Amino acid sequence: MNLTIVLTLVRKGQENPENRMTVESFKYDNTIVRSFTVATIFWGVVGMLVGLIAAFQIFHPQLNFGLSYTTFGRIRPLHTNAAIFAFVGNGIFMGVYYSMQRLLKTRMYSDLLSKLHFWGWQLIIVLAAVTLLLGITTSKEYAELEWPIDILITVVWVIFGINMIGTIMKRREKHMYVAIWFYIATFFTVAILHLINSFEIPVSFLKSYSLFAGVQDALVQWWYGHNAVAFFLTTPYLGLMYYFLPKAANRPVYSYRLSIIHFWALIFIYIWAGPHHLLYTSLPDWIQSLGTVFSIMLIAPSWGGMLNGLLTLRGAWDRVREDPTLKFLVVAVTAYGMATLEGPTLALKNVNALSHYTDWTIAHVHVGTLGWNGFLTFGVLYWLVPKLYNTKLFSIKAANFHFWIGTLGILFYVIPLYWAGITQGLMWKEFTPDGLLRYPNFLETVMQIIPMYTLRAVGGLLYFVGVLVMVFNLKKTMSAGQFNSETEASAPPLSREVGEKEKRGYWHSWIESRPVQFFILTVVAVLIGGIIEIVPTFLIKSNTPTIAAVKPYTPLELIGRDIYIREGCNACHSQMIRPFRSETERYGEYSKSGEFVYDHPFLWGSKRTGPDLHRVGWKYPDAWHYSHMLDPETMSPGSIMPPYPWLLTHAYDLSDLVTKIKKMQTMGVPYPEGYSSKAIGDLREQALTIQKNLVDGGFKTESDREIIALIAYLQRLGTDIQPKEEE
Amino acid sequence: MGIIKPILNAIEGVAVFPMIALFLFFSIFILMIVWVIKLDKKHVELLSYLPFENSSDKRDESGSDNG
Repeated sequence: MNLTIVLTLVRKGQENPENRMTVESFKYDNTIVRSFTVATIFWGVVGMLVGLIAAFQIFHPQLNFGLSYTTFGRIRPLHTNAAIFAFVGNGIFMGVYYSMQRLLKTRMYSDLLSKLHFWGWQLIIVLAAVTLLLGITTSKEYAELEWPIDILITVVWVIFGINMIGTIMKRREKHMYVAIWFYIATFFTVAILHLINSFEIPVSFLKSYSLFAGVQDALVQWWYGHNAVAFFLTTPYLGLMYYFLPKAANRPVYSYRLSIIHFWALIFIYIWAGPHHLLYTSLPDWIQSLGTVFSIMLIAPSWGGMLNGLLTLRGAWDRVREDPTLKFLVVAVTAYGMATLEGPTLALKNVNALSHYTDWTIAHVHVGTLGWNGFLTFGVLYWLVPKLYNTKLFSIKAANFHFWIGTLGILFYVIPLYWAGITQGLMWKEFTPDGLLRYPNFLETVMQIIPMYTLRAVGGLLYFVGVLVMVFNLKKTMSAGQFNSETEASAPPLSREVGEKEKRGYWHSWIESRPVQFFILTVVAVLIGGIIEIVPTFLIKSNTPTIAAVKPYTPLELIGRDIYIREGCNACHSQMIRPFRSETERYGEYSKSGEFVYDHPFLWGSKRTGPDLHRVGWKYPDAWHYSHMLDPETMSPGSIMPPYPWLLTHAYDLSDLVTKIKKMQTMGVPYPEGYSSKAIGDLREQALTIQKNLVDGGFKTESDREIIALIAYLQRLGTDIQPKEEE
Repeated sequence: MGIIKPILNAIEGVAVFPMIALFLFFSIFILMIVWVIKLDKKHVELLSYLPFENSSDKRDESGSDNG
């Protein structure tokens, strides 16, 4: 049916004769949309380039060029932050600022707030890039930024929120389209997640310790981490899907009813599923099961949403062949479906036992980011840029080329990593008929998958080439057209009367025209899951049984731990031995929750590019660690770990030691009273012992080098509950 | 259940937790589905056309608005 005829028919029944008289003229702000568009493109290139570097570094560690700043442990968080918060973040705001004005028939609430939001967000990204490369990090995944930047994020997010809510309040369209609900849910949930996960005690301007420790910290982190995926990478993009897919296809969404169910089911269930990141860890079992059950339930709304998106194209599939925007959107929505089926599969304990810590997880998240977020962003860009510049896309052919090379890139990226993940997972678990590990040397399982890492990098390269072609195409489009900084529009003002339908008691028409009540309901839905999951773990001490033998870190170990965090060791090494025979044989006794009670923050990690380190203490002599950090290949030929020679020359920083001990005490770490003044003496004593061991092992070094502190920490790991063998 | 029980027992009034969760979950879902089914068809159609209501905007060659 012709859309304009339907529109007229639909509109006819609801026009208010009074309002028809007073039509207001106003202008949509396109400048802010363009700013976020350019930022999306720019940071997309940067984030993907950094990812590409990381992909090559993983099998060719020399690509860090011998610099601490560009070593994998620092590059990896830079890549994830850039992809999530810089590329997708700006993509969200681009879509929100464009669609929200049009859906609500009003300009944004405040141009000033829009500008503050834009520049504030770019400032955060730049600060993130600088601090992460300097090794200034909290170590918590996707929340690595230190406390001053956390505060800045809060301020900028609130600015965005005020601007958004203000726009909703001054809207001329009574009903809030489903996309707007997704934006609102995103705003509130991300605010809550960010605030709670950022509870940290500053020890200096750029260093803080998580207020939570061990199991609690892990639970909060993955409640955050999972929902960052849910409410930063998914819900806002679903909002964009519900707006831009119908726009590009030129037909309304397949089922609006289904979109309502999609929304409420998603925000209610998503928040519960975080613990599936911690299966078989020291987290209490009941929470793990809760995470699994809710993950399975997520399939229903996610697939409902995917089908709703795909079915929107019913009868328009011929256009998909011609229109690059639709091509990108179709693959994006399909990738959303694939990733949301795979996620619950990985949340099953038996699957997770194999997949966790392997590259399977990396493949899974890249189906989401490259397929869903990347392709949806590209689709929107190909549609939006010509609109903003009042012209046609420079080259449909180039866009089609981008589509195909991008799709190939995704396949070349994920298939080798599935292969690598499953292969390595099986190798870790394989026993000989005699009951011994078939591959006792971890490195052997790494060497096996290096060809897959190479193929993955090729996949990433293909995808990146596609993006560069897009940049060229969009640049050409921009210079061919004329930018409209404003679009004229007109609409009657919002009638405050109660509609006839509401009098008859249609619930959802009541709620969708009342933003305040809607906010409250959304927050309640989101909070229920969080409260039931997290509150018991906080209140009940027995959830993390204290083990008498577990003692706080010595001052030198604490300094060493901070170096471990700075270098991002947890990007490749876990500290969580799962209760499987294959793991206890390889690493030692499985990890107990009570062992982590003084770990501010927890350092369990989520990926084993190298072996688990929880029981590495006393496994090797001090001199082994010294040589290994200087050049890993001397101790493990073929190792893909980068060398850390700077640890051997830099002296550790003790300026904050007293504050660090004091802050630890305020968080309940039982150092004796007044210990902060004695700490330095103990530290020197322990350092001298390690220095002596190193000299005995043939290495001449000072006792104040970073390597000494790191060795102290590594030798401490996991030793609290095991008797020292040589004694 | 051997491992789960002692942990669960340590939480005061834990038995009520899953009950609350189940109750909330089902009541919200059932309410939502009832509401969605009861929605007026014309109203739903109006809502689904919201992205296209920019009558004053210039229309592009495909006949739709340019948003």
